[in-house]
Amino acid sequence: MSLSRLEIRGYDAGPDERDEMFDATGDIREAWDTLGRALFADDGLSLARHAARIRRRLVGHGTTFQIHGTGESWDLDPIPLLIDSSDWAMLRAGLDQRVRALEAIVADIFGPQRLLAAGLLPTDAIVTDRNYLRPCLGTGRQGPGTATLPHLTLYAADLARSQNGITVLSDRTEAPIGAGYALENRDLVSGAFADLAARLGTVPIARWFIGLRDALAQRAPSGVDDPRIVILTPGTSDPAYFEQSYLARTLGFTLVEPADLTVRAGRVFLKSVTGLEPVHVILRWVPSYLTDPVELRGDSTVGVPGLVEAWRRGSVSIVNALGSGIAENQALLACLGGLIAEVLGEEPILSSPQTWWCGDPVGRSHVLANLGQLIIKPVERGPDRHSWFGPNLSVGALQTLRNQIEAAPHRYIGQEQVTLSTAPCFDGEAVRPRHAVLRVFGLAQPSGYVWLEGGLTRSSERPEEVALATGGISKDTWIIDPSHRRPVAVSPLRVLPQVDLRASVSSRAAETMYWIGRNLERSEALIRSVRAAEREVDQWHELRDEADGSWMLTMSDALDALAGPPNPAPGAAETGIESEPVETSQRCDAVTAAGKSRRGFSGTGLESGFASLLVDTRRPRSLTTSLGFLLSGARSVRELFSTDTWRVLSELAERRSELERAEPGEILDTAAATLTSLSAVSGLLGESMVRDPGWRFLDVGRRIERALLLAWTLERTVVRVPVPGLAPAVYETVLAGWDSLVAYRRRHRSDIEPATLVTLLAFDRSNPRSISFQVDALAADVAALPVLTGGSESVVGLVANIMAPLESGRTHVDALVHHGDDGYREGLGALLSQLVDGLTLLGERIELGYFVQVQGASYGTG
Amino acid sequence: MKYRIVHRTTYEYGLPATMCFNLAHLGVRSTPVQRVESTDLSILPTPDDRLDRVDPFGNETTYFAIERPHSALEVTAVHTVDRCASSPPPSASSRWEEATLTTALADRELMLASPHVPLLAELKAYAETSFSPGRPLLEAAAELVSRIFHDFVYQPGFTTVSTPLGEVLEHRRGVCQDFAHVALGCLRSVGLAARYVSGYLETIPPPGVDKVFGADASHAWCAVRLADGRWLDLDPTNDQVAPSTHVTLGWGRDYGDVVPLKGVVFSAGGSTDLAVQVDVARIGDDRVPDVGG
Repeated sequence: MSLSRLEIRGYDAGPDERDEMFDATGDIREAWDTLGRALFADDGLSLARHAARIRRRLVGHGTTFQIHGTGESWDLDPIPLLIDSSDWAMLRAGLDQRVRALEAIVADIFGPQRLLAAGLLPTDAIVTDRNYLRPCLGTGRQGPGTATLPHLTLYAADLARSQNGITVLSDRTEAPIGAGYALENRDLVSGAFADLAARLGTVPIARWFIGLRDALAQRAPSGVDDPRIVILTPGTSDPAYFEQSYLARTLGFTLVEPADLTVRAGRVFLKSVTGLEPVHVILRWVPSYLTDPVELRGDSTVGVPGLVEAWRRGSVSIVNALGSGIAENQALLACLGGLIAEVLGEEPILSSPQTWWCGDPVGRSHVLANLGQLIIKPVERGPDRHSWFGPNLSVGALQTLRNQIEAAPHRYIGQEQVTLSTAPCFDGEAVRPRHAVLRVFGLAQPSGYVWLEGGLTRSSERPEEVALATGGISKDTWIIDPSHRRPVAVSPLRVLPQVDLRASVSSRAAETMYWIGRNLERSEALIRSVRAAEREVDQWHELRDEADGSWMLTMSDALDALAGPPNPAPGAAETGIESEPVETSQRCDAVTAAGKSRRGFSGTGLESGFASLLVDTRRPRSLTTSLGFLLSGARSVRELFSTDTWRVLSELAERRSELERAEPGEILDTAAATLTSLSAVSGLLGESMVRDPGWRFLDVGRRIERALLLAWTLERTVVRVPVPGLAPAVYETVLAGWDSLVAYRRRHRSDIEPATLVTLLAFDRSNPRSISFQVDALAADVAALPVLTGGSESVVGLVANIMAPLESGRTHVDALVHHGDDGYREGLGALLSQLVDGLTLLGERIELGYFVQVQGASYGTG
Repeated sequence: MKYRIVHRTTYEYGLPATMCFNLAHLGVRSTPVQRVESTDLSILPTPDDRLDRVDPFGNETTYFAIERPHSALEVTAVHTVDRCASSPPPSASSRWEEATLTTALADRELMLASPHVPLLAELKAYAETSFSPGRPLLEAAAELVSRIFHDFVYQPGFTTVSTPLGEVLEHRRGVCQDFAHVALGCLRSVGLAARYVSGYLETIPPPGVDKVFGADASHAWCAVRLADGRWLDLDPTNDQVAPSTHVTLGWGRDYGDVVPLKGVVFSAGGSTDLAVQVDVARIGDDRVPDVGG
């Protein structure tokens, strides 16, 4: 006996609407029966559990998609949309036909223009489309060699079931996003329902991604056997950045930003830490019309100068081809059916909502006469372009719209409204019908288009949200084919093996890793040191006042150096990520200033002083500042980190926002919890990252920072002899702050002696916190870095220069800690200042040698 | 009349530029009223990469890149052009509405708004004063050009290449390029196809004053398509219809399609000095004409 809709409490699809799960008589459709029994039998209890589990994993993966800049995170419904294999076969045939027609249209526009000249295309809409890229006209083909490559390697379509059957709401040809989210959704949902998916016969989707990798490799210019393929992202601010980095990691290609690429002699190169490396194929997520400020929009900030010329010459393939977005022009929907007949000589299989283009006099008069019943859309899609639902408009708004259309009729279409079918959705309490739109993905292969057997479904209570892709909850999509039924679930292929064996680190990514390392260390060192000071004073209350608060002055001086003095301009330390050379030099100045400052906690009390060190964002190296840089840096190179690392980084982000929200009394505890997260990040980076150049730069950053911060601390606490009686408390705090107190106690039973303290913290090569340990690690790191060309002084030499005074100091510790009547340990002071200078120079040399990128500026003469 | 034209653009950088990528629309094209005898574009330092081609409007363009540090860039175009006298063709005298009926692909994009020429409502109103129903195109166009000439003040420095057309209309000030855009917007607003023309015009010094080399300027005007597919040059800056002394470089929808020299320069900062010298000299004729720029 099958389930009826009455058995699912509160599920009411309404009599007029088509539901995916139930037929018109209220009986469950065959494909849904097993799923329905498994999920709905217990009144939503197991669903709530699954939903919570998926939610946790989503947060852990850090999945995001900003919906038109609202910053909303990705949301995933636990119930997949099911499509049976016979529906799917029909869909595939229809989509295949449609994309062949669109490919022919794009090839015509950028080639012979026969369709355009014959008036078969909406001329005025096409020639004013921003994707009608004049510098690309007449190329007639995509890519190099003799073979004609398709413009639309990737294609996506938004589908819905309406009163007219399955209908194509829109086509995505410019940069069809979503396949990565579909894979991510499958990973999350099939994890929860592995057994059920297998029992139903769910077709796996990972194979399509292997096909994508192969297809990209096939796009390489002829004669290139070992192509370098990069994924070009506009940057971390792009709404779909998550997907771009996810694909980079999944496919094993280098993720690059426009500034990582350069054109030389008509060829594209990646600016990597090892020099310029040729690029043969670009999977492009930058909008076509912004890809080259020389030939296209001069004001583009995400372009690569010379890229269009390189592409025209065939030295690089771009996927999808430049200008492919022209096929998204909505005016095409008014004539696509006729075009399919004209171009392919076939009857159209799939329809679209009926559309009238206002550039055509007949279409225009129909639209203007029925404005109140239609959806009005601009012919070009974009975040800045709005659509109007006629029935929602006031008389005044309709008149405004009418005037707008009449002023530039070729820029608008009118479209009939379609009723979208509903699918079951779990809203946290019950299963409810929600309107659904399915995005499917095609990939051009030599044998024809291959379709991802699944897709990305979005659902919402409000049909216009999903129809316009402005919102809604996503769903996994299962194609149900009984021949795929298996007794045991086969886990999906999550990460494909690397194919880009020469995957390289861009200069930008290397710089980001270096600063992640430095900020990671800043954060850890600051928490440890603040905590040690807080515990010491907690244990010995008299330290507050003894000898005129001398202990407190000494420690506040040392801690102030770690966090940096507050910047007078509020929030100035928060601007941007740390990749600008200008900012780098400002930071160096701030460091120097901190080194010379002799102030305490700016006159505040002890507790609020500790809190200020941790959460005052005006301080250049406060905990929240450093964590902010660390997290934004990590986001921009997320493809270099494993999923596990992301999970702990997400936790760290959560800790940071807790710190920002924390009451003064909670800050220290929250900081302690933050230290745990930081240790987890450090552990994963140390234990699960390949020692490639990216990791080396991160480690170099860490080691330089740790050695520098410790040297500063020793300068402020040991070089000047503390007030008699307070020395043990100062030394103990320093040892605890640098995680070496236990080690010290184990070796030495006596009071803390300066010579033994200095030995342990500066010279002990077996102490992972000591300066010597960092310098040894730096020597190994820089030896593994690419050799800098044209450098007068090698970084290897600079590390040797730092090591030399440590070597000699190690054998003369007693002389170093000797002090005269002035209470100043001259030898130690000189050594530390030599170390600080050497480390600073090394940092500068690495930044200049490996990272510096010159900025380009557009110009034009009158 | 035969002209020798020299157009030299010089950039001097305070700090050396490390690389530059450029696109030049500095090649002169042949038209029914001008024959190109020779044309040459020389670039210093010699580019590491250079390719000449013809753009979709039929203009000669040059892509070039200098991929090594350089402290100056000098681009010099030298053309010898034989320009014959022109007069409005007979078709210019037919009703202007007849010219609006074209559906040819190449004309459509010249009938619609373009990036520098939005079809603002004011433009249509301004145009309709001259383009009254049934009027001969030549008459209406001549009046429009004359009105722009008288209503707008020629004031170098008031606008830049990126000043929006709305501001030009509001202040009624600008240079040749702005007036060409105004005229284009008017012509397109009433349904005509019109193109932006980039070129040169000889300047004549006052009697008794010697002409200084390089004192001429690049110039811009527009052209309207006639019913028979021929084009009529209109120069609102000089209140001229079908002038015989203009030498055409190339054309497009607006300034943006035929920027003489544009690109991206990579440098560590520092100042940039730009100098443009244009010289239009007659060859083998020293008669002083009675038209001026």
